[in-house]
Amino acid sequence: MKSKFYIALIAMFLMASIINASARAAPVRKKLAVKAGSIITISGADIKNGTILIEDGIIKAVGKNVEIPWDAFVIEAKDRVIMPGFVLAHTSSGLDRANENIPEVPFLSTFDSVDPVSFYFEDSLRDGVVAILVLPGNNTLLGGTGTVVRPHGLTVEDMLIKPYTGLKISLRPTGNTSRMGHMQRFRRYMSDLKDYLEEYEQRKADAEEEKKPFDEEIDPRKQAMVDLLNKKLTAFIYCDNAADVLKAIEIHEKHKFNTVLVLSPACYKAAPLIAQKKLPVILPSQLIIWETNEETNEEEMKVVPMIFYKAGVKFAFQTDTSQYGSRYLWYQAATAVRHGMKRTDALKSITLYPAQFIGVSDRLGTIQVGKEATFLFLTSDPLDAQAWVDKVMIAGEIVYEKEKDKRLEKLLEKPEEIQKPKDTD
Amino acid sequence: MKKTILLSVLILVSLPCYMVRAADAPQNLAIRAGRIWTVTDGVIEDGVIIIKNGKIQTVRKKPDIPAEIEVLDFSDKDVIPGLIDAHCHLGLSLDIFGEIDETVSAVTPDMQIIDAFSPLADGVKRALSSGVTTVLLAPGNKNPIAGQTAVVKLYGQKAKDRVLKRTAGVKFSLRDEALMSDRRPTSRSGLLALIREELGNAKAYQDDKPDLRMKVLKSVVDANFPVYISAYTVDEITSALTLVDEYDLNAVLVGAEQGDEIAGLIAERNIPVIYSPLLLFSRDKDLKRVVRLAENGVKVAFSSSAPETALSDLRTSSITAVKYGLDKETALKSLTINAAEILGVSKRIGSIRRGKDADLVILNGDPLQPTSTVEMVIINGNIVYQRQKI
Amino acid sequence: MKACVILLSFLLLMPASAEEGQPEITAVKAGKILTISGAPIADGIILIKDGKITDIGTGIEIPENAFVIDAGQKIVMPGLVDASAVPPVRGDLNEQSEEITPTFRISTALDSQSKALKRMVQTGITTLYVSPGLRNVIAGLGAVIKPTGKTPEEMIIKEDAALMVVMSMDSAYGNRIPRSQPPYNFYYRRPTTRMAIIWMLRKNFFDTQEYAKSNEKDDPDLEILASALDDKIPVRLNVRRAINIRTALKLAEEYDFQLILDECTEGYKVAKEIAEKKIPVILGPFYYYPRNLGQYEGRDINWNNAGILTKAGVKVALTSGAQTQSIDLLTAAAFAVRHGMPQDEALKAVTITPAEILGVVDKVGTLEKGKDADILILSGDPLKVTTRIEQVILNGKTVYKAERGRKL
Repeated sequence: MKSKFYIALIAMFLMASIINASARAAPVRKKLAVKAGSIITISGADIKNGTILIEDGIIKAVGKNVEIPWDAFVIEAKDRVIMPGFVLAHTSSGLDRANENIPEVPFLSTFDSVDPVSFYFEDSLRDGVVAILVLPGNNTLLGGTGTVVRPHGLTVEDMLIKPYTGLKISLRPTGNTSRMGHMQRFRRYMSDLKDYLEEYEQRKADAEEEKKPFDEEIDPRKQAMVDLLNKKLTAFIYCDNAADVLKAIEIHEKHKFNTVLVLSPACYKAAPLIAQKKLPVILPSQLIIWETNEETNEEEMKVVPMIFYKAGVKFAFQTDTSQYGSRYLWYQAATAVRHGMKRTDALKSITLYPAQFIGVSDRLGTIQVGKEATFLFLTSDPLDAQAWVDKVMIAGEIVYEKEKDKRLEKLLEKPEEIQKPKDTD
Repeated sequence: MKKTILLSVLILVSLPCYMVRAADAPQNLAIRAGRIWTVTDGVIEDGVIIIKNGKIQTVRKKPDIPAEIEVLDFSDKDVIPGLIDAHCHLGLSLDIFGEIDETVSAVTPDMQIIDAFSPLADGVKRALSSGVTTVLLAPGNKNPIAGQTAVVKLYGQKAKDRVLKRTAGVKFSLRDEALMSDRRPTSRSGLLALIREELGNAKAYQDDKPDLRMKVLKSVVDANFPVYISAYTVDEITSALTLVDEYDLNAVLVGAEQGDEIAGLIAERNIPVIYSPLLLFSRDKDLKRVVRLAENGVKVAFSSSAPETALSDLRTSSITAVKYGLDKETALKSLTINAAEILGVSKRIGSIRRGKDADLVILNGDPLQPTSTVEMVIINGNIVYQRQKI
Repeated sequence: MKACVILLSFLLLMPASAEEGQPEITAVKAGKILTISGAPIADGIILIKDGKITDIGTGIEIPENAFVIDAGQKIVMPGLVDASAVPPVRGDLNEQSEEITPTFRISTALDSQSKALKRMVQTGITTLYVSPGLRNVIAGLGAVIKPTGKTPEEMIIKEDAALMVVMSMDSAYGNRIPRSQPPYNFYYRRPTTRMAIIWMLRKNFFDTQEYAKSNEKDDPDLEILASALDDKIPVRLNVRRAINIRTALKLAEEYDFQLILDECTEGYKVAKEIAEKKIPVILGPFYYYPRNLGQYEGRDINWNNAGILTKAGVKVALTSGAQTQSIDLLTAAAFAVRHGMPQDEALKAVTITPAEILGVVDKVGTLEKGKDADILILSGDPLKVTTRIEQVILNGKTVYKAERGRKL
């Protein structure tokens, strides 16, 4: 008698836990349909009251009158604006330290240093960023290679979108070197590398001639630079001022690298030259600078993105963690729009263009058939300072919901009443 | 025998005195010159200056020259009045970069800069060779109320020949250098508050207790004793003007580099300016400022602020100002009569005029041309410098 | 020949054309006028004479010779009032030789050439409060100025607008405790703990009360403090932590002075009490992340500080804060709304509310008849970050106009 009771009890318990488990597991659905109030595709015109069909994490259809399959899970988002997740083409945050002490370390990789639990990634996801190229910092000549990650996952492998992307070169002199010394160091490295490669090729040719097996590999410490020379990696060259841009262009033309320029605000002076060379640019986080006109002694405001925009340069924005807006990519785009940039171009500079610069535009950067279903559910227009990221979907899975964001809740909500102190004197 | 020896000894002993006195005896001289720039009475071509007892007796085209007077023939040269450096720290201690500020205490109106002047200092000789004959000595800018200025000639064996004014006024400084991190004041507002406090105390001072500092400041607020206020930027100058209005000061602005921005306010109060040396500026915009200031009716004199710039470069200020649009007459006045009037010594120097001291400079060309060099400098009728012919 | 003479004399006798920006009457026409004092006016007109608003509304007749600024469909609002801005002064903001300096007037160090002024005008600020620094416990007197004019007199619109008192740890920073030597300079005399700061305040307030009771009139420091305790000058207290805010409220009651809370980082914790006592708050700069400012200051933050205070009924002014890179005041308002402040309150927080707190609301803060003609013409909604400030009018004169297509 008693044993039956216990069996029933255990059975009920097991059933409950199974049901609970299945509810908590949040399964990745095979087919999804998102019905949105507004869809900003970036690749084409905005779609009002449209639908996005997703299958296995890939966009199957986008449009106004899309037929929704019977077995698709429907997400209602009539009061939301959907747009591709933001892409950040360059950062050195999220690492334990951005720079190694030795100037020439191209063999290092940020893959080994990305910290998945860093607040930086938590904030990035909260702010709508879905892909970040994490590169070494600005204080190493040849800093190492970068990694494209999504700000979601407990391990670097979970976060990984694309490894071995970009090689960071910084033209800022380090330690006590002057710019002369710094450039000479680079030239010497490249010269030594070329000598090494020549000798290597010679040995290879000799072995072939002698019909001997040749299994010598390229020195792993030099592999990254070789890949750079072979255009398998893109050089991300950081310039502190306009004079550095000239040097960067010299490097680009001499060694024929695929190059992206990472600029500081003072580099605006080189905008026409950069346009001429058709090099892509990653703008600094500080978009507005004030300079004193030497002759008139008057203060003049320089809007950096507008200078590049008018010169015809293609660029992407960066962010920082200072006050108010520059933390958000949409704010950087809004600042440019405020000063005259076309809205569509500004939005491209935080989605499609950075995706192109870091080589992930085949799957990210726009809402198009065939691309990854990775996009943001915004409460209103992205350039509206009142828009919040309500949900983030990565490859068909909702990975962030503002409703469930405890940290944000704490930062915005009224705290408990503090107990009134007893009268003291 | 004894008497003869005694007499000879007496004569021998007293001879040097005669020799010394003869060397410094008031000179009588006549100078014939191609162009005499009198400054106040135009340019006299082919004229003669007759000096008697160290003073200018005649300045004319064809005067009667007394027979016994030595005539110096400079018929192809230019003569100008001795140049006046309206603000410098020359010769203060034997080291030209020596003490010009007593910084331990912020308020030291009783200090007299003349006490620190050494006529034997190196820079003096060099200054003379460039035509500077009189200077205003002043304390530096590190004290809000720094001390009393003096007007001295760069030559004169006896103090009475050399010192034109033992105390010409009190130097005030509204510059950032007057702010220190280890004594009051540390801020600009504190600086002005301090000056107001001191001037307020001076007004209330009743002469009951002996207080030299208060006595000096009382003469500033009650007896129009001049104040030389160092103020360069617009906000410093407006602060100075506020003090002038509040305490009815008889003020001169020293520096006034940005004074052109509020030239009207300076001019309407009839405040003269001793401008900073133009050698300190490099931008066109800054070099035009003094011209604009003068054009707006402000009386300007130039200075070297030695050792900031060399005294021998004093003339450069005028030459540069002319290049930026100042009329030549005003440019020359700014080195001579304007300075004399501002310093209150125009009865004695500043122009070539009957009755004034014979302080003259002979050049081998237009004084406002940089290529002209000084051939001879005369002070009180004495030849104090003569260029060596190579 | 005669014709030339006639023509010449005709030209000479013609009246000189009005100087640009110096017309008799100016009229501003705009699609939407946000008066702040009342409902927005659609298709409104503002008439300006001698730097003041003479009329405002719809259907107003524009005089014949008026200089018309037609802002089309743009939005017009009052010039912004910044209750805590980058001070356009030179030199140290504090007189460090003493720790109690009530007579320190920052207005005497005003610099009309300061670069901060030009930046302010371009970001729409037409009135601002200039404050002494925060290194002294009783720091001195601040003034309300406009970014115009060459001399301090031309800039100041209210002298001695508030007495700055610092209860946050800024007044204790950098002060050293002498170890073995006797304290040989004034840095050693100054407070290093919160106890000492509060004690200094209490002592000075007590001395002031004694002084006020006696018939002496000769101590300038105590004179100022007596004016403050007599409600003639408001006391602006810089506080960050909740416990300091509470102490400030208590002191204000004890010594009966008019209190303004400055910076008030943890105001959200004490919102109800601040509202009950009707104390206005001038918020300091906004930070996303906690900072470590020593003695637990700056560690607790809430992004919605402005919103929580406003909803509790507190009068809140938003500021750009004394930052080297002046934050756009309108952007500050836009973000305050983002984090939870009601829209109309946010607009008030950069116009009428700071004007009221600073005591200059009779002149600025709203677009009303009789007030100064300080007007902003915007390309759109002021709380949108894509909106540009197109034109700034100060005292009836255009002091900034954004150029279109200008060579950068």
